[in-house]
Amino acid sequence: MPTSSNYWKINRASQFHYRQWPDGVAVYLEGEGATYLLNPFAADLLKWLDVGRLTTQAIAERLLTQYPDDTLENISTTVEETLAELRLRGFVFRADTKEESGK
Amino acid sequence: MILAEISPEALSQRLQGEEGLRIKTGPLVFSIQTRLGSVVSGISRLYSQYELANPSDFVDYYVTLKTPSSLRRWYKPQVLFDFDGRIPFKPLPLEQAFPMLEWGMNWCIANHCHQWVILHAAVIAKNDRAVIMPAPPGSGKSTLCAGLVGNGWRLLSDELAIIDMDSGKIVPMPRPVGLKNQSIDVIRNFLPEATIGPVCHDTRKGTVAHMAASKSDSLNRDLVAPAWIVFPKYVADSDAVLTLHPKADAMVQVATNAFNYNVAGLKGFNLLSRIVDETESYDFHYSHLEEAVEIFDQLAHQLADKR
Repeated sequence: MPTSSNYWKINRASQFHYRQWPDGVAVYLEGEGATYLLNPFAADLLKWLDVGRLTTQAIAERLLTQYPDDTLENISTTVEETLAELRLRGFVFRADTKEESGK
Repeated sequence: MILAEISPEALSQRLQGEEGLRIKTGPLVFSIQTRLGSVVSGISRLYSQYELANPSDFVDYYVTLKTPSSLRRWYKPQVLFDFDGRIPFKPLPLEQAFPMLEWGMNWCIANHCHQWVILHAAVIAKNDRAVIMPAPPGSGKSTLCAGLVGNGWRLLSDELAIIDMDSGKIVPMPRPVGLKNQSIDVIRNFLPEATIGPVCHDTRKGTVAHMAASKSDSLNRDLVAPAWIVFPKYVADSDAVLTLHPKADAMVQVATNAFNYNVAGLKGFNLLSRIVDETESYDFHYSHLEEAVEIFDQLAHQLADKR
């Protein structure tokens, strides 16, 4: 069972809107009024988190079915790196332990 | 009636009168008031083919170019841009009065016309399809725009791409094309017949001058659907090269160049996304206008052939 601090959640301060092209994804943050460029992989992670919180492990396992020639460890590393970038932009954050325990 | 049909005396009278000179630029009417000789002369030269509004027409913006009421007028005279009774900018040296009118009019449009999405971009058209050219200052956008409109392309704007929210078409706002520094002589040599207004030195943009729009462009009010987004860049000694620009990045670049994207909100995002979807996006590097015109003409012909 993952600890609560492993969960990733989307930042609900903005509503996210996506427009995808083969070369990338434009993401519009409605609350902020700004548009950002993401690679399709990062945009997919954001869309999944838009549905609900997920752990790195859960995301990596989901991706392993799409990339069966890769290893879970490699995928987990890439997911962590990508989510770290998304966190720097303020799109996602790690769930707070207190919040997760309902305190 | 166009401005060239009234006498110089009548022009001065209108500019000095309470009603101002009421001139149509695209769908907007500006009332311009001034007693400054350089502005009168600049308007006479660069707006001669523009339609004058009827007395009953709604005036969108009242602007006045005037000198401040201070002692300074006697030793380092300045000019003020008055917009609907307010002074939104610091004064500039009096010699910069005409450029200040142009910059001020652009400011009026970019900051107040939120019924449209407005991009910092030149827009030209051929065969009823438009090229949007977003670019930062110094990229050669206006020089390229001037070179193309002098060679059969229609001018919709050299500074503001005005997009109708519903149709996604470009609203024409043809005004004099702003030229800076070396590009003034480049255009003088490339288009010897062009009407270029007074040259103004030492502005915040360097040396500036404006090239008049043609009569047909000045009066044309037809909206045009965009077919291309081109990011131009002058590169010294470069061949003219057109390369595909990734669409997602084009979308972000276009949004970055929007003046009022935050006002338009999600509707603006959807509108610009649709335009990026429906157009081809390119980077364009050039150093010679002859080559640039040839490549743009090819673009237009290829699309015309497809249709």
